[in-house]
Amino acid sequence: MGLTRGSLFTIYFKIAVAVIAFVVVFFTLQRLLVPKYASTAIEGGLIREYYNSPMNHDVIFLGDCEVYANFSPITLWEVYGITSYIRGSPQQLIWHSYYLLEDTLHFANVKPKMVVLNVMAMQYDEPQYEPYNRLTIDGMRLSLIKLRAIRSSRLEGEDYLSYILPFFRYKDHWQSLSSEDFRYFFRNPQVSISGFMIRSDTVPVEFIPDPIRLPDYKFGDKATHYLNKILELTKEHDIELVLVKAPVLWPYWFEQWDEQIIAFANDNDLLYVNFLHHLDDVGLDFTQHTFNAGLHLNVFGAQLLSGYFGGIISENYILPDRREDAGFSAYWEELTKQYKHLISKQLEEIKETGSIHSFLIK
Amino acid sequence: MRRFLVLLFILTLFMLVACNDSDDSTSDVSPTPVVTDGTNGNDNPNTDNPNNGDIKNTDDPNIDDTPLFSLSVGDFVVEMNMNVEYALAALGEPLGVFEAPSCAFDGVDRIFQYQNFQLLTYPIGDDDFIHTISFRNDLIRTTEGIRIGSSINDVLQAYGDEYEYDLGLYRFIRDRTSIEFLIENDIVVQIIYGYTINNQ
Repeated sequence: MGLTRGSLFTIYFKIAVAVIAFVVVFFTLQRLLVPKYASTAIEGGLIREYYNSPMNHDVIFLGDCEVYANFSPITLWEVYGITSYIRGSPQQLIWHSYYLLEDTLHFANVKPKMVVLNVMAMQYDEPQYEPYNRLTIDGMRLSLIKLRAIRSSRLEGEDYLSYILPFFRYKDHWQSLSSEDFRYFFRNPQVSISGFMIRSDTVPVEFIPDPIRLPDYKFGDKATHYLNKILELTKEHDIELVLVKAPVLWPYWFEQWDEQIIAFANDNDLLYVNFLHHLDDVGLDFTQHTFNAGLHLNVFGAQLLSGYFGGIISENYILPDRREDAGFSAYWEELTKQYKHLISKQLEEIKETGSIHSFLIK
Repeated sequence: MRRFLVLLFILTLFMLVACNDSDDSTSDVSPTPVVTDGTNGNDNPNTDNPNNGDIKNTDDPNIDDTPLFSLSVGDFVVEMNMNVEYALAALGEPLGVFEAPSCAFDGVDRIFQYQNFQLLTYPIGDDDFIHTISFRNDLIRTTEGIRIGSSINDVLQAYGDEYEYDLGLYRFIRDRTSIEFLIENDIVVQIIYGYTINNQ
């Protein structure tokens, strides 16, 4: 004796509701548990923010903190009308940069005309540390590109599934949920201006330690492989690739590394600018223009660097000045307002308390 | 239907709790490379005695009685994973101190530079512990008598023939401590003491 059509329907209906309820509960919990990056490690919010932008930038920066702390897209906009976005993240490795470029080309509404890659990460040939992988990869939209990025980046023993379902990575957070987890449940905090993190404080350089000699300065196979892939991808999409080394004094950038980048740039007819050789031209003064003793520039150093760099790329490449384009100007004026507002606020905090307390745009 | 939903909710909660029991080294909430326990089984080395030498994990059956690598500076022994405050008290004011925060996280790695060597530290809470000592010149010798400028034969004589070798780098390991000699043309050009922090 079989089940009637009605009872079969009831069973299927119950199963469907159960599955939907499970999915809803699971994803609600996941959303609650994943880090919001609002008060600690706010750099963790950088990668995901790109998808909230118009994704129509002419210049895309790729790299680690040497890009997101040192280049100001607002200066490039204000002085040259160049629209740019920094797809930077802490300790972004070369393969991360490659997959972020693929991701950008996949999701962008307008293909970029130029990619600026900071070369500091060429020194690494292996994934370094799981939390840094997270800060880059967790923020990427789910796609085949992200899956390939996970495969190339994860360390031995890292769980592939937890990158797709971060619930499994952050499950223990239920024990220490804070008001931040609820406050930013529906929306993530905005941590950057077009990928740039604003620091208006100053901690001057007083001392730079000796670098420790390396047994071998040759860039590794994996890093070189992905640098070549970045080159190929930019060629394939008719995008200019520019290599840069940001003008920060530590970690040490060895001459032997520089020579390899120069050779790569020469072999492939690329522009490479090592700003460490242009400190005076840029106008940098490490008693004033760094917020952590030479590791990163503060916003005033970043403005100088971006002004100088904008001059180089606008002279050497054809990049449109979008300032008169209504399709861009309203958006960039709003960003500029947010940028200036946070700088003023931070300067006010420095004046009142000696340090800054506001890092979020909103 | 309500029973289904309640059951589901309970199952999900159960999953949360059950997962929590796993010994997953990557389960901390906010990904942070700040070391929470790098003390090799000793909760806070040198909190009482700066030079107590008690940094071995005595619970670890794999550890033998071979002394750990350490550096003698005058009468003071700089031990790996020592709270740097004790070293500073004994060694005096460094020529310079460099603070190197990681790209994203709280906590600062510090480099204390002396005339002949540098101490590199990692933070735990408000304290800094030594994880690396690097030599700056040939005016200082390892406890076993090797200095920059010594020959590879001197090194092998002093440290034996159990080492890891890669690209001119000879690495001798004792428990979590190591000493590395970079050799060029059979001569030592760099000496580095290292300490492996728990989660690295």
